[in-house]
Amino acid sequence: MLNYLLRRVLYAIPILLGVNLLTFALFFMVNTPDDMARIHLGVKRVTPEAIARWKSEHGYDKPLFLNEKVEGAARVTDTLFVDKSLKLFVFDFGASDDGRDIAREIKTRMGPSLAIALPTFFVGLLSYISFALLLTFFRGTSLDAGGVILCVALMSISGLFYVIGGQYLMGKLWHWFPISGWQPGGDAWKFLAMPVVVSLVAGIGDSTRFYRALFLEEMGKDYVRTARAKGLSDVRVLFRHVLGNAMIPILTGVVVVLPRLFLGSLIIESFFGIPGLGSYTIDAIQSQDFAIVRSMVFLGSFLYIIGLMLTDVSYTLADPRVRLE
Amino acid sequence: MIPVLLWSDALLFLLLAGVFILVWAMRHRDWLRDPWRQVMKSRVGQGSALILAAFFAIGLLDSLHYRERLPDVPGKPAQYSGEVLSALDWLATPLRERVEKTYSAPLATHLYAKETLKGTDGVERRDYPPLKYPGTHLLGTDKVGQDVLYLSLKSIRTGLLIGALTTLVMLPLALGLGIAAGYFGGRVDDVIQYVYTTLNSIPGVLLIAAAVLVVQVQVEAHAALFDTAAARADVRLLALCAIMGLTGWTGLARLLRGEVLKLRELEFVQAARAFGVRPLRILARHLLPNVMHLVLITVVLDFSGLVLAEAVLSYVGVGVDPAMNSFGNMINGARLELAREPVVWWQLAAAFVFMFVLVLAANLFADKVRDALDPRAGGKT
Amino acid sequence: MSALTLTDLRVEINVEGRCLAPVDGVSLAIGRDECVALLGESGCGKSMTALALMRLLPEGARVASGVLELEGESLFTLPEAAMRDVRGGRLAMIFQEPQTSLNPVMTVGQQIAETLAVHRPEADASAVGRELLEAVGLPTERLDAYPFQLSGGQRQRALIAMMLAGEPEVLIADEPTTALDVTVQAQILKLLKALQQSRGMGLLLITHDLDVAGDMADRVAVMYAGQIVEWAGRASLYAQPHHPYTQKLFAVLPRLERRGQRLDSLPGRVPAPDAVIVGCRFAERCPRVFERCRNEAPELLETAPGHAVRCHLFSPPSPSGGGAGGEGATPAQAFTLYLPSLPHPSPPPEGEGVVLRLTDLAVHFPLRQGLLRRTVGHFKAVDGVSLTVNQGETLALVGESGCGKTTLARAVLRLIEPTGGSVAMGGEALENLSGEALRRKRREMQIVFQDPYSSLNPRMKVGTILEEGLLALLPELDRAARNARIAQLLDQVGLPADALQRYPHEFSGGQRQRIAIARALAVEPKLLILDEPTSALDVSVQAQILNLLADIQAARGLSYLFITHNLPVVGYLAHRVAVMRGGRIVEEGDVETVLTRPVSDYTRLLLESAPGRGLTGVSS
Repeated sequence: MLNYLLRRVLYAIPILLGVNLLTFALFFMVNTPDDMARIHLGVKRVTPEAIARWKSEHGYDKPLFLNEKVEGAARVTDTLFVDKSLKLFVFDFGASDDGRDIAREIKTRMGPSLAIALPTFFVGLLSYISFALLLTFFRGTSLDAGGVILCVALMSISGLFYVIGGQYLMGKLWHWFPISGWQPGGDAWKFLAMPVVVSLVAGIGDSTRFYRALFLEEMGKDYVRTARAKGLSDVRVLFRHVLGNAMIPILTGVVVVLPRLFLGSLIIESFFGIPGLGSYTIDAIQSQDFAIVRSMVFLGSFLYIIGLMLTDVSYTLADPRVRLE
Repeated sequence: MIPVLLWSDALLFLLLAGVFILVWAMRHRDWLRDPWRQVMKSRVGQGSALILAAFFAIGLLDSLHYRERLPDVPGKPAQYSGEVLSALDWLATPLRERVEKTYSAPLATHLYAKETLKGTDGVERRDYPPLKYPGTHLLGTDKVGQDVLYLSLKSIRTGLLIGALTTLVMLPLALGLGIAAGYFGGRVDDVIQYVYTTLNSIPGVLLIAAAVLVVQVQVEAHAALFDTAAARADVRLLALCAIMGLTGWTGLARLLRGEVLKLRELEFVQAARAFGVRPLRILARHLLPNVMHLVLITVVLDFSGLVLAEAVLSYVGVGVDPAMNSFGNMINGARLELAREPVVWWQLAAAFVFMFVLVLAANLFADKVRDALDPRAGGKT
Repeated sequence: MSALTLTDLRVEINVEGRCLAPVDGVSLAIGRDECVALLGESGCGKSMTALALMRLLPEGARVASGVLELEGESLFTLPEAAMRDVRGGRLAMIFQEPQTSLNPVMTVGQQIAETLAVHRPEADASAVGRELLEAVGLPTERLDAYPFQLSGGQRQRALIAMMLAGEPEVLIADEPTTALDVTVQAQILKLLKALQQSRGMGLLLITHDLDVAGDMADRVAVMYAGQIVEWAGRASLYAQPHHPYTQKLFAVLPRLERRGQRLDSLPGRVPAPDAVIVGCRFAERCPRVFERCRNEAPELLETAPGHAVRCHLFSPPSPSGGGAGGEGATPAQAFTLYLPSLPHPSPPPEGEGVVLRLTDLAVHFPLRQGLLRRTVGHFKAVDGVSLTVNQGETLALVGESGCGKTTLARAVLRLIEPTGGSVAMGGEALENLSGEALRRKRREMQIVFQDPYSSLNPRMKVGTILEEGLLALLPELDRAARNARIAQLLDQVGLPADALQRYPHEFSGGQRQRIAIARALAVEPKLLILDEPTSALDVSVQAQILNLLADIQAARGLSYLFITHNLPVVGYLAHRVAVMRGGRIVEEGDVETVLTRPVSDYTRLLLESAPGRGLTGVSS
């Protein structure tokens, strides 16, 4: 097991390196620092001097891979690639293009992101699985058929509709919650409730249908017939046997996204004015702050790889075939 | 007038021709034909196919582009308008040209906001000014007075293109890499798996955002290459599709890899190998036809997701060109108007309803296709 | 007094709006302390009957009519909640596939405890669990094992333990040993028989194997097309099968004694479930059919005490009179077992040339472990095998699953690269060949696989399938020559000419196997490797394929490497036999010697385990 995890860690390094090279290529080779400077300076103020000044202020005035001007090891270390890309490996994100420390921003913004993402994730998982179990239990009846149609309809609605509709109904019309905003401390729930509810509703159709299909596939297997031949009730077959086995595919899909909850949701945070990492990212995209985008790409990949490892660990908990090998 | 062929038009017609050739070639293959018959036997299948066909017809009409000839000035060569129009524009000329001053509710006779009017008696009052074309705007008008129905119809092409062109980019990658990884195994498999794990590890929206930002910068840097606004919007759309295709192939590739791993051990593949049939021929004759059902199911299922994704990406600011008609841009432009009193709801509602109908039809159709093609899912949904 | 009686069961399935009846009027009785075998070929409705008894029919199927009584209590009318107390308690069932019938994420102990919790809540789960494992011959520490840690036979034992936990009065066993090796099958059968006798249980054994039924059953019901056609005590049935179908089942079995004889065969196929049949369901295939059979459905009538048969040969003259009896209606005639004695067309092997010679052939798969996946050892699938196959001869390679026989076949064909030794075809070693030279050699040997369903590409028409080898190996043939050769092949394997334009799914298992044989023959090989070519087929179809193989060998002087686990087939067909175990050949010799005077213990064990010998030499 330890060996296996070590192998995964070793495997993670080339992947992160790949991500790093890819983003570096996109942001420094396809797009040059000159292009960046031009965007930030605006059309009117573009002069060669202004570009040079902007680049040196933001640390973009070094060569990409090889610095001819310095001696020794610094030839390869005092370069954009090391400065802007490799340093991400030690979580040295540097400063954003507007001069703020990215690492500090990430630390302060993680909290609000998690405050929304965690309840959404866990309440969602629990309720979607419950709905799916309910539909599976009543499979073949009109309740099941109606439920499936409802799911397809719900998943055909744009996510933006849920957000806008939720804000309009719960915020503007019924005055249940503030339409948007954030406030730390005891009153935070007022601002959290609506984004969480909206995200939950938006995910119902897709997830319920997916889990139902998983359960139905398990229901058709031979061991279910054996369990029923033993005289077990449908409820017990469903919970003990079907759910137990379906946990294995469920875990693959679920655990891998767990670490990424840190990054928050772009749409939800931006619509509801939550100062989390999602809105941070979206602001960075809209203001074309490449330093932040690069950092978030790296962080996202890093968290995904953690997620992959967690998936392996969770497999060993859910599946004795993996645990005992 | 002179015809204009945008890159996206060309690709769309190419795709259409490809589909026709495929259908023609496959008409004698029972295993491909029968499932579609089964789909078309059910009411839901017929209904959703009809709706999809209607949407596609509108999208195709909107892809026949031309530029109008300006009135001749004697002694000068013929001049053409900078505005690119389409067959749909021509058919919907009344809708297009009946422009009001600003918002008006569906089928309203007066504008949405009061203005200071001078009556026939010369007295100034605050009242709702009458519309130039009262009662003709089925879905109302937007901020600059354009007919919302017209905007919605124009947005259909964008949604379809995103779905279709992304698939066009994604499909060869997924097919080639997925099947190769599964069949050849070993080093080939390692490399392909590495590539798709790496691509998968980057949060999708961020990768798309990064790539679109880069393209945007490049387009601005080479503005001279794109003479009309339509051409600029078009290249951005193509870039978006290309990027979504380049990032979107991993799911299908992984699915195909798994299936091919199973298939390559099957006896009919072994029998072909015992005849010394070459690997490429085995891939094409034995493996590809046996994973076609998975490919079709995934393509149809993904289509609706792509239409929905367009709206979200446009909101984030990395979708299609802001000047282009699209559901995302319609929603984006209208969502702030919900704060007004009274509420301006019609533009949002139109975008959502059009999207809902398109996506629902695609989803229902996908369901039927899956039931017909996937022996495992038989009768489950 | 019977423990379980079933009267006039009819099961209906709705398929696309049509109502089919895969089980139509089945009556059975199982006494306390009795084993009844329900015997029939695939698709006859026997599994459906068993599931109906448990009220576990798949969705879409239902019991349309019939009465089921367990010790006098009517089961079909019980509410579902009450039926749950019966299911797994008084009436239990074990299934065919031990690989998939157990829940993979629960231990054996947990799965036994579940049954106990429902049916014997007062019992101490771990104590009873250990008792049960002992009863089925598993070590008690296996209580904590997960199914994946058990072998196929052990899983079947665990499943039996689970089903015994409710102390059933009647146990239904649906093909419990079909997926197991012969030696394991013998052990499980012996165990079932012992448990049935020691516990005073009724046992309903569902099987397709005449020999298994003969070893196990007190009474046998033969099923055909959803009906019971013969119902008799074992001794009576095996001494004198009455129904022409039952007689055919006996006649088609390959045996050592039948060497040199052409096997009897059963033409046609079981009528489709939606076919409308007025008269006898077997009439279309019956060698003794007469007019009445086509007009009037026969009843199941007792001809002697305890021996009932559904056949007009034994029916009293019809009350309407017209055409009653017919020319073959005297029962005495029916009692003679119809035994064919056609000359076997295959000439004895002349042994002139060696076609295939294997020298120390080895296929080792590396086992990797640790951080860097270092090779820590090898799994020796084939470990130094030397064999020869002479021209015109059939060499049988016998062994159980995992002995390496299939790996050997693939290594010979170079579908897997051998790790050592040499394969020589017609005197030329293959391991140094590549490219065009290897391609030419491939013409000389071809293979026919076990599973007729996965051996034909479902997306290709039969014509394309047959053409593939010609295109790859004989590119010099033009289209006309190819077509001529394919037409000739179709004729030789007994398929209609219009088969070329159809897809494989339109054919039955036996027909598919004919297509696979034709595909292999297309390139005119000298050696045909037959990898269990008949083990997925019903016995009546098996007989047709074996006859076909004999004809082809006689006509073309072909050599066969016949891989199988089925000793009676070996005895019937092979000239020489090699017994394989753990990647090595443990015994080799001519068939008569090996099968009658084996030298190795393993061969002796295989022979003793083969069904039809009364399970005498087997330890459970």
